[in-house]
Amino acid sequence: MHKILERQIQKYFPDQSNLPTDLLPFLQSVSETYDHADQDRLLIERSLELSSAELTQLNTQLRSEKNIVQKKVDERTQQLVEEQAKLQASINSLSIGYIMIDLNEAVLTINKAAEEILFLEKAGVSDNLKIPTDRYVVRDIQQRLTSIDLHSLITECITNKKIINMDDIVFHSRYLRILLSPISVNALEETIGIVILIEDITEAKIMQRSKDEFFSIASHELRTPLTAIRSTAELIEMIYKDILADARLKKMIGTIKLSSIRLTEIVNEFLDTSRLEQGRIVFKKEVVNIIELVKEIIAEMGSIAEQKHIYLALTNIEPIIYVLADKDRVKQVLVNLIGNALKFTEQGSVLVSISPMQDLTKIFITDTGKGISELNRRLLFRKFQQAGDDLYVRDTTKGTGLGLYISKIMIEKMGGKIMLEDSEVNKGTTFSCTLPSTIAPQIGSTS
Amino acid sequence: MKIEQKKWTAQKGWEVLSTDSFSEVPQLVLAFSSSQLAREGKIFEEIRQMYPQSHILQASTAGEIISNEVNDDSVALSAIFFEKTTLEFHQEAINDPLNSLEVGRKLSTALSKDNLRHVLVFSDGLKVNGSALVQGLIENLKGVSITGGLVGDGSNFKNTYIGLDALPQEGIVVIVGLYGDSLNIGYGSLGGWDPFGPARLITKSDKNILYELDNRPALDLYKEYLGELSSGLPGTGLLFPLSLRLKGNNDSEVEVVRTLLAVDETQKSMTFAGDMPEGIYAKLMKANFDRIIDGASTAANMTTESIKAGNAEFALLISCIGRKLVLKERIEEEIEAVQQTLGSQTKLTGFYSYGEICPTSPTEKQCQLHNQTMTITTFRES
Repeated sequence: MHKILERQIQKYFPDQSNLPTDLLPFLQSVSETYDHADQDRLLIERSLELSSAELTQLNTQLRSEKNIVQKKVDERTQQLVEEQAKLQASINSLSIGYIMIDLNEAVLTINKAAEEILFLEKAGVSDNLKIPTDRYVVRDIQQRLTSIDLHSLITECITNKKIINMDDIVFHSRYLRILLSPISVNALEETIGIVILIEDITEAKIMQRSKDEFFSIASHELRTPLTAIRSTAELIEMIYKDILADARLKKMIGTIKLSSIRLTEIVNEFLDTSRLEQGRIVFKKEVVNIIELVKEIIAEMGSIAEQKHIYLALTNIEPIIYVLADKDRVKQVLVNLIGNALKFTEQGSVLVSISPMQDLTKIFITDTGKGISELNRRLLFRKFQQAGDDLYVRDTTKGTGLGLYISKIMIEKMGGKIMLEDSEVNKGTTFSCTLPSTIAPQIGSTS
Repeated sequence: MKIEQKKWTAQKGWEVLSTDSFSEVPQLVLAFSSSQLAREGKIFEEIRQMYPQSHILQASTAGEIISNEVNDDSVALSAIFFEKTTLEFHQEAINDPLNSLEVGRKLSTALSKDNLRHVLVFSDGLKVNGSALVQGLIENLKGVSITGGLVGDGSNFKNTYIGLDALPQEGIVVIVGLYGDSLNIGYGSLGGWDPFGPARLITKSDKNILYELDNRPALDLYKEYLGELSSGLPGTGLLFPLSLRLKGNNDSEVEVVRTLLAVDETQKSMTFAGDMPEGIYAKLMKANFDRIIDGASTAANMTTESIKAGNAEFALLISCIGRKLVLKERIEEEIEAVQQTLGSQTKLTGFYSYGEICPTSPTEKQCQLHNQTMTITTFRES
């Protein structure tokens, strides 16, 4: 019997012998209830004790982990502060305007150069990198840059995740180059903002323009005296043919004439370059039988090939392939390409082949010359570059280095492309260019 | 609806507790008894003689509920005549918990769907993964409320029996479809246990078998908490059910309670009445006597929400064995609390179970497997 019940019975029924026997099952049931209550209490106490110990242990663990995490957070925060300071200093020292915006078109960062270029002034902006309390928004910048639709450009940049580069944006009689670049955490993630770089290119443009103008004027001015020298030399050769018995004098006059011709060619190239760059050359659209044109060029250049004992030929047998282009300019390009091939080939052949295709007709010029090294290939088609052995030692006897540059611009203006197909040192080179194909000449438009 | 309730005890044999004195044939006779009585053919034969034309659904329990009483080693019988409701019965055998989903699917497919108002399910308590069975049942019964339970075997956890118009056997699942517009059903389910101590991550489990909590054998944790009582495992394990926060629909979390069915000392594993998914946090729960009894009356209140106006005529109470083990001498208090809430006109019967099946709230129909709850289904014909 439960101890409490025993004591209670002794207290209230000192003489237990008087207890009715049928009360015993009842007392037994009460005793069991007491036992159960004890068991329940013990179980609850035990579980609370264990649970409390577990929670205390977890609490200790949590505190120690919190300290470790806090220390790490402090370290990382310090690192971030330092990184940010470095970044801020770098951005602020840029001469290019730097603006970082978020997806809501709020300006997060703007440097001094950007403010200066855009004449942005706002109260509360410190001299350091700007993260002002009264932040700029894209609208403030748009109010200045009225010549572009900044909002649309930002949307395009975010949607396409592509860099947008715009040159020659006119702003207060100045020229700006503006670049918008999306900020993505990684290639697949969504864009989180945009960096806008603004560069004032006015000075550079003025410089370039004066260079171009000088180039153009100087070339122009050179042509008249050159023509005079050349025609005078020719006149001397013609009128004083008899007096020029002295072979040395004759050779000298001949040299004057050839040099003036060469110099005129150079000046013409300079002028072409200048005109092409300034878009001052108008390209005609003519239906040209390219087979006929190539045959004509080969006939003209045949003598140079013969002198060097090089086989120069067109491999096509069909009589007609039409392209839509400016005949004179096409001729200029092909003369340049075939001329180069002959120039750099000492033996073997220079072959021209034409393959007509639906949209574009491709012309190949293949030589068995000295080839172009890997290094030099990358510099082809650039201004003043010669495809010679050494790009850093200019050999003026071989040309201006403008030929391929001019050819490239011309072909592109006519809707084609020029490229180096293949080249192997001491084996040969193949250049190609394409021109728009056309079916048949319209009556009256044949060149 | 007309009801006749009887009780059988070894001392007094059959006693009529109440009767609506009807001459019609009751369509359904529910008889809940101890597993020993269920296994013996004598009781079934006697019931068959009393109700030769009725469907007899007999099940073993961990305690029989009839009227306001909770008895062991007794038979709690309710013969019900539905005036406007028709019934359909299906059963399936199951011997491996892995087949639970399929058995659920088969049973729910077999049931006619026209005018189906409610489904009652009575399942073997040990050979079934309750969560999977429920999953299988609801697949084909969307929008229909389902209630019921996993039948018991005292605190032995050895053999549970169910019989439909036959001598009860192990490994049976029975469903009863109730049809008709006049039938009103209410249901409610509530526990009343309190989680305590730290949340523990389920780090190793396989369906309803739990191996590790926080990378430590779960069985060791239970033994530590039970102390001397650990010799009474798995029964005493019911003193500490686990509270799980499962992912519900629309990222919501549903709290379910899982109760222990079996332990394996060699594997240090514990089998629970429902799934124990890895990566879910579990908390030990302890009994709060007053809250458990409050839970029963709140569950009864929930039924009145879903049954709408009017008092229930009949209530089926399926309560967890864990509650009986904790409440001990006070167990009838929870039945009294239910009776008080539903009103004296409602006839009560039911049993202590190894798992309860009921929707989580009176406003929804999607049912769940519960443990440690009092689950009440009320019936009224209008």
